[in-house]
Amino acid sequence: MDTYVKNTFEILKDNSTVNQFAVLELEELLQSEETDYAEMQRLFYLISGDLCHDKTGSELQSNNAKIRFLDILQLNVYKFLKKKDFIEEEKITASVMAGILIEKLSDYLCSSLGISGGYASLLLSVLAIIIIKVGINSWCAWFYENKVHGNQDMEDALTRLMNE
Amino acid sequence: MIHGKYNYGINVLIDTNLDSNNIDTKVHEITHQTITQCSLYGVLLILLKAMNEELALGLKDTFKVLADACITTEEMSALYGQCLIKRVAEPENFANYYKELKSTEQYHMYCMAGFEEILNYPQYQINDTILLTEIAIFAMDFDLTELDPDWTDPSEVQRIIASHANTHNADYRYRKLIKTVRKLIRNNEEITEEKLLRLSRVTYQDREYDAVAEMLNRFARQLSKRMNLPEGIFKQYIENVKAPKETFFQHKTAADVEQPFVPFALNGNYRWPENADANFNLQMDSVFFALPDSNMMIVHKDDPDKKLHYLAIFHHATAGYYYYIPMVKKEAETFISRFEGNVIFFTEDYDRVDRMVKLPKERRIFYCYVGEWRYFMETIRCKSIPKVFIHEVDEDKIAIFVINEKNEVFFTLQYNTIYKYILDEIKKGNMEYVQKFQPDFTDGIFYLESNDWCRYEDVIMAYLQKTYLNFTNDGKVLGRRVVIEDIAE
Repeated sequence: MDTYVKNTFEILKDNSTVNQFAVLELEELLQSEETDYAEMQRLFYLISGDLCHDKTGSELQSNNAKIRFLDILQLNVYKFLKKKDFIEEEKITASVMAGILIEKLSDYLCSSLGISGGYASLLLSVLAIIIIKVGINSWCAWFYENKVHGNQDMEDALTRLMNE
Repeated sequence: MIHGKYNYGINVLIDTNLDSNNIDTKVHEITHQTITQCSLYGVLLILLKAMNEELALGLKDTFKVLADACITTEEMSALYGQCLIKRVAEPENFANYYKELKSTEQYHMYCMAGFEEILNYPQYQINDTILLTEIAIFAMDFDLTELDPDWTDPSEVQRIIASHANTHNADYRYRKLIKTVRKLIRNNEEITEEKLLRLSRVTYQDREYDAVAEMLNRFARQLSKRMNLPEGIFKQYIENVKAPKETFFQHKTAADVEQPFVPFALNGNYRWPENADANFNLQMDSVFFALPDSNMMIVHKDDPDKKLHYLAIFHHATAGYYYYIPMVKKEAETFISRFEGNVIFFTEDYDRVDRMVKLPKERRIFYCYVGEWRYFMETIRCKSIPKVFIHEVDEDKIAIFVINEKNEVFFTLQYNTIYKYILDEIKKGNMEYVQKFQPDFTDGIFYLESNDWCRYEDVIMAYLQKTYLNFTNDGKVLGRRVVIEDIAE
């Protein structure tokens, strides 16, 4: 396992507010051959909820629709990943991806949810690790298919974001 | 807003603002209760929580570890149960309901892949129990005390559970069972216990009386050893709470399903008095000045140092304010004697409160009971046949008032689904129903003066945390006193 991933999980394991069984399961899934997108995504929600003291359920006003915070966050990640040209995807490690996401989104995370910078970075690191595990393009495709497609509020929010 | 709460005990609390249409909330919470009460691991959780609170053991973190290990099992099964009932009760609204549920945090956090597939499969029962409820019980039917963890060390408990995941980690076992359910669904096969256990390789231990008793005794021994305390403390506690063999249930009766729901104000809107930082007397003066006609609810609990602490909550029924002030015993005594409004006690230790409260007999003290109807009568200290009346609060909630010779009024708020159990008690002669005399609105027992009815309504309002100035309910009044012949029909 990559040192960055190992360190991130060490930090998660030291955090008593986070469900440690979810952390262990996510770690196991990341090491396994098969890629269980849905379960990794579920565990990301579960861990994020604990890290952000259940504030992830907050709904943010996006025009007339109310969209959950974690969905807005992932829409932003999706937009960023789609707009960037990641041709040399295989060269991007989890730590590089985490660095990019933290630089782009941690301020937004802190100000929206009122959580500390440390927690925001940790949350984005976990997301980055999942994205690298499943592959950038695969993650984008999975996210769009399962979270955006067919959900009018999410589709509208994504359209607005892409046009910004 | 919290709709319902099951807190690893007997009762299922449902927010008083919810009406009878919220059957999904009731099913969600009763699923938690069923899974927990009907599995060995769940029983251990119930006992650990109760013992930790009553005996101040400092095992809160250990409890969290145990609860974390079964959170997905509990929640996914409860969400499945609530969806099933909603689909049956309101098939025309189900598509929208499910769409909304899918956008909730709960759904994203707890529903594993395949939830929808399982929900849409025509088989929704196994062994005459709701499919995922039974599967959750399989996942949680194991005895963690077999591994002899150090209960005082949450990290060790967690490590032991994680390293014996196949046999002692509820969520891990549940996940394997769910994967097997999905395989069977894809093959369009009937889901049976035999197939599930064989294909998932999950085994379970039946929650029989002897297995529970053995687990609890072992738990007492382990706690005694790890905490260096006499085993008798734990054994005595367990003896007090353990159901006798003849009443121990393997499967729930109708009363087990109908009675646990308790309407409770889960979304209280409390405030500190203006001068909250000032001394006690100033706070009291402030309350007397601001809330001269309020009700006072006193909640009391032992703190870990065994000093009695009280929480006084003042409810202003007209304005809807709730001020709360923590008190020590002496302050509570003084204040109760000065206060002129209704005094409502929330306590599980009647005798202690009885010794503390010294009021003239004509002042009535209300004792509030939060729990199942069948245990309510045990709380009433009455030498003769207790007198009772019922106030129908709204279309699904009733308040039951019982008075004893000492002029103490015991009351409880319940759902009207328990009417038949009340009628049973009246028919058996265990209670005597008091009708209201007309036309002066007195009955010589509860209503002594013509305007005494409002005292009872104020008490109900305080418990419900409702306000007279709230017009959101189409200006409906607070129900009516029940004529027993009406419900006996």
